[in-house]
Amino acid sequence: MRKTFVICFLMICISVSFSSCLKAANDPISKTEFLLGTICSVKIYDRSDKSILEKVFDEIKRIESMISTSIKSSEISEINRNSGIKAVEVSLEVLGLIKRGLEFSVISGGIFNIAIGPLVDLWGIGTPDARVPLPEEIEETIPLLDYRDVEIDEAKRLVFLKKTGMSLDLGGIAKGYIADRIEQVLWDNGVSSAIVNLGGNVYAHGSKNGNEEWKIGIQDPFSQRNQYFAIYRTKNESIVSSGVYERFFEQDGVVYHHIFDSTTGYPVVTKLQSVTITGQNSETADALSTIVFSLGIEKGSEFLEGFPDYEAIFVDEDKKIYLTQKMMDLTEITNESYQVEIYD
Amino acid sequence: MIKRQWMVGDFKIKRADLIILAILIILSIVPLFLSANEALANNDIYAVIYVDAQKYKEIKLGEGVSLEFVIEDKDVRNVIVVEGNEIYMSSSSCHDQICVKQGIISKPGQSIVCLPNRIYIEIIGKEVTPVDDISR
Amino acid sequence: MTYHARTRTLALMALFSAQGIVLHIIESYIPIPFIIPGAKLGLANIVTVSALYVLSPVKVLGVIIVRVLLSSIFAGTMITFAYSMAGAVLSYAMMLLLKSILRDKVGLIGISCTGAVFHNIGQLLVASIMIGSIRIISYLPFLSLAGIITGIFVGIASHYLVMSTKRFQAKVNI
Repeated sequence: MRKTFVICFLMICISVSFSSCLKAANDPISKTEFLLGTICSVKIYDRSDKSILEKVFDEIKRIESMISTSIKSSEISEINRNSGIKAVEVSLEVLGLIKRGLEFSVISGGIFNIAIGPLVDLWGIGTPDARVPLPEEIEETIPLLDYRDVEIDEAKRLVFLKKTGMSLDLGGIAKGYIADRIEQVLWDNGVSSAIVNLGGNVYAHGSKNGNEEWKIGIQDPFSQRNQYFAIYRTKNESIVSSGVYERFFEQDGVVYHHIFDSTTGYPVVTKLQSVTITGQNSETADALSTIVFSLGIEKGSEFLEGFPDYEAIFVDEDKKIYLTQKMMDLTEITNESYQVEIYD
Repeated sequence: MIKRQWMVGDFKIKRADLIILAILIILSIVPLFLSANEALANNDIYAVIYVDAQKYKEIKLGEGVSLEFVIEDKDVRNVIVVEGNEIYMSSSSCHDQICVKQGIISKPGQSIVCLPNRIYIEIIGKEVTPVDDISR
Repeated sequence: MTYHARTRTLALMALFSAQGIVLHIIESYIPIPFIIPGAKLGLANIVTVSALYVLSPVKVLGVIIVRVLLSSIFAGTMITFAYSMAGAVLSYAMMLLLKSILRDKVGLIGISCTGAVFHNIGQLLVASIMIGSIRIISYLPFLSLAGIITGIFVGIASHYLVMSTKRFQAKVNI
């Protein structure tokens, strides 16, 4: 009889301590820092070694120091300073990035434009000097936005901006590229379950806790930061959203957002509030989000057909969601005030 | 009086069984009242303040809480106010004042950011978060 | 125990474990609309309850451990293992306690329903630790009432299983 009680007591103790251990094992380690002009956070679920987080953030800082336009010693800043003057030698890594940025510029007919620097500086969106430029200022700036004036010498690793006053801005693929690099760092360090969020650019690495899907919320363009209208379930994928709500300013009752049309010099006129692109490669998803947003629903989804492994979720100003049946199956709409329309 | 045992076929149901069943049913129903009572509900929400990427303070929000923090360092001066379940940036030395304009936050997931002064306030609840992260 | 008796007991334990695993796998195909991984009807309890009347307590524990371990390997993840283990162990502890205290006064239905309810309590306790919020206990009423109903069925099924096992043992003269 006594033996029975002892056994029972021991078993209860075992179950309690067992679950506490598992809880500790299940909590992710995470780190958040102000980088790239925004908030970057990384959560690792299947390793408890904090030095891996350090390695990830070191990688972010390393790349930032090479491509950021706000860091005067970066390679991009060097290229921009020498616009119209001379070609600048760059590292293989930056050369590759610029090349791919140019490729996106070419296939999108300039909608994605790595030479958009002067326009971004003129409007100053995201800085305290944000303002609506005068028409003359815009007219003067437009000729400096031609990506075809970016010359690359691959053999010698040289980049030359032909006209003075031109400048490169890789903001449209920077976060995507960094996320792809972080993916490599994570794999190299044996991590197979992590979430990376670079200023809203999400990369879901591997799967959650063994084999579960990640649940990624999609920002509600009509609500506050971190309010989502839908949950997208996935494994090992990048989720990038572009929208009017990200960076904007208001002047005289008109809202000016940060996605520009280099042919007009003004923010893209669109009925869309946001576009969310999903796909394997973060850099591609990043570029696509800008392109597809600018193109609108019809042309955007047509353009996307050239990228079979990438999907989109559109939200227009009437709170209507457009997505394919395939995406609908993976998405749960949590905000009832939205309507859904499924297209092919 | 309840019989000591019944037979159903060759299966015995004992009086003790019925008593136990009754106890178990009552035991199961109890939590219904408790959670309706919110006595077991864990409604704790916390505001976490990060300064320069380091966790600076974690404050439990709730009725009766009334606090004011001044974060001061060189040319940074931000004042954070906590009033009950709400927290907001009442003043900031930054030029764009976006953090002040963001107003009051009170629900888990909401946040206030002062990028120039590198201050970040986030509200978290110790509950199941339905999502692992949010794409913006 | 004689050599033969030990072997037979071992075989019986293995049989029970196997039955438990099969029952677990079958019932994992029945969807339960709750968020707790591992929440299920509790059919595998038929095996636990039966074993309780046929084998000694420690051996039944062995059966349970083997059953939970292999079930999670075949039809679950580390997480379902944690929840199943916690539930199974707590429910066994309570069933054992009840049987030891009340002995003949309690029938199989009382035992199996107790087992079902405490299995759920165990799982919810683990869930509340994992999730960090005790609010999850609000699922208890629904899970338990469903468990009690299954428990009645489990008790009846166990009765017949125990009877046929004992009849078999008598025939083979164990």
